[in-house]
Amino acid sequence: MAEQVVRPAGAGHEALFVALACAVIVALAAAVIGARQTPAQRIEVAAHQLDARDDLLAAEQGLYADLRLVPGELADFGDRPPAVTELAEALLPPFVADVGTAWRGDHAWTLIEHGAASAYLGLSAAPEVAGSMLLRLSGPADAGEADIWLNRSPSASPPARLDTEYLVHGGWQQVVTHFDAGATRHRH
Amino acid sequence: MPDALPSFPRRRMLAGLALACALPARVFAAVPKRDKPLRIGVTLHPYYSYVANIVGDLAEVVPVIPAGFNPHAYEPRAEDIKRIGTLDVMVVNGVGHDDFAERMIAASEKPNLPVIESNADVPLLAATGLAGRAGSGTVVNPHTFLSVTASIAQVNTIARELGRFDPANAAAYQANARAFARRLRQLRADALAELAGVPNAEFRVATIHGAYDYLLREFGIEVTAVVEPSHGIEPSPAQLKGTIDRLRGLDVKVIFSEMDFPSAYVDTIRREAGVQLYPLTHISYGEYEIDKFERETARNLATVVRAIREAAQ
Repeated sequence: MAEQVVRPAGAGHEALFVALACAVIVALAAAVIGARQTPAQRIEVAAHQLDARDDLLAAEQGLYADLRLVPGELADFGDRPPAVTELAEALLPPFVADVGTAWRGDHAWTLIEHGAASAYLGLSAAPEVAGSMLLRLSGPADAGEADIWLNRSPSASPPARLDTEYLVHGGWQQVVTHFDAGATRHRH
Repeated sequence: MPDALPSFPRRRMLAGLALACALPARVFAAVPKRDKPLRIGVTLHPYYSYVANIVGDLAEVVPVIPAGFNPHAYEPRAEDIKRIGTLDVMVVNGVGHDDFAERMIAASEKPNLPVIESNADVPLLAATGLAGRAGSGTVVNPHTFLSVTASIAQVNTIARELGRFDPANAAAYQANARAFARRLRQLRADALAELAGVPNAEFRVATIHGAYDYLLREFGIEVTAVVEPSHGIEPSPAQLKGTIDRLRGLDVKVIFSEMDFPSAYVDTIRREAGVQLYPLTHISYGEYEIDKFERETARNLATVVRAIREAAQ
């Protein structure tokens, strides 16, 4: 009995077209993804600065968040920066002596004033948990806005001056932060 | 370059108020005089409480998401987008928990509706889970509304910005915000006072949902592990086994679970890893109420205090 193999018309072509279509779709998808990709933006900070998000320990991040609120609260205390005890009585962290203080480095807080400049200094009893911190309220012309500094040295001591150059030379690092809108938002 | 403390006046709020009064007229020229109360949109329950406490009865607070929806799985509906057309301004979390708001505004009758970025002055923490491990420095943990300190920072920002839209009531908004902040500080102080004398156990904690880093930072506690592989995503069986092994290896004794969105696999973790489970609330479920944030924050603080006390025993 004679057999004749009848191949579907254009079978080879169909397979080729399907393969080509797949390749085109994959290439297009890759091109679109590649075109829309944005590099992860890293905020670079200066050598004397620390990024609050990436460079601080957990306890330091908590203290930093608390300290940032302090300058806005000082209006209730008159013209001069209040003593630490007054801030504690107003329940302002991190000046309140509670476990929130004890477990985050057990800082000893004092108000230091040098001329027109003043700052709240918290010397850490446990630098491995959280370094010593300095909330500089005002200072020489280079200081600008209130800011927060960190020194992880176990031998950190009260700075004799509060200008930026002196603090940097003394091993203090300015803590900075930045805002990032939600990753799936368009208007940043 | 990042800012050190961008939003704070150097010394005195009074000086700031005086400065605001002295600002050129053009700053406020674009703000029309209001003949009816401001209508302020909010997306999440904590923001309803924040704004309601700030404005009192001087403005209207309008939740954009109806009560009962899970904000993790919310898909904007036509009627919700329609409601945006009636607003004067929208207050947003803006750092990942309500990104849908931007698209809703764009699709609404008011695509240029002003938005208040509540978290503009909050030092944001890195995202937890896969997003955090990917090392993307711009993906942040959006749960700032679960901490007292970050909430006060947001309340201050919202009050200041609302004052720009409604200058006639700006002083009242500021005063209300300060009173609200004092009550929040009292909540935190009361909770921490209950831990007086408890030794620093340095115990390790895990959380089911990557939501509580901001809150636990106030106690000096760092989250060792987060069970959910990504925000609001349940782990696969393989991931669950890996998590249980990790909890055992890290000697985690306490795990904070999710009160509002319970999952069956949490019991498996408790049983297999031998950890103690403490449920916290995400403050994102149920009716919108002015005192919801204070009530549920007090409950969260009490739960953390109980976990610490029992772990120290």
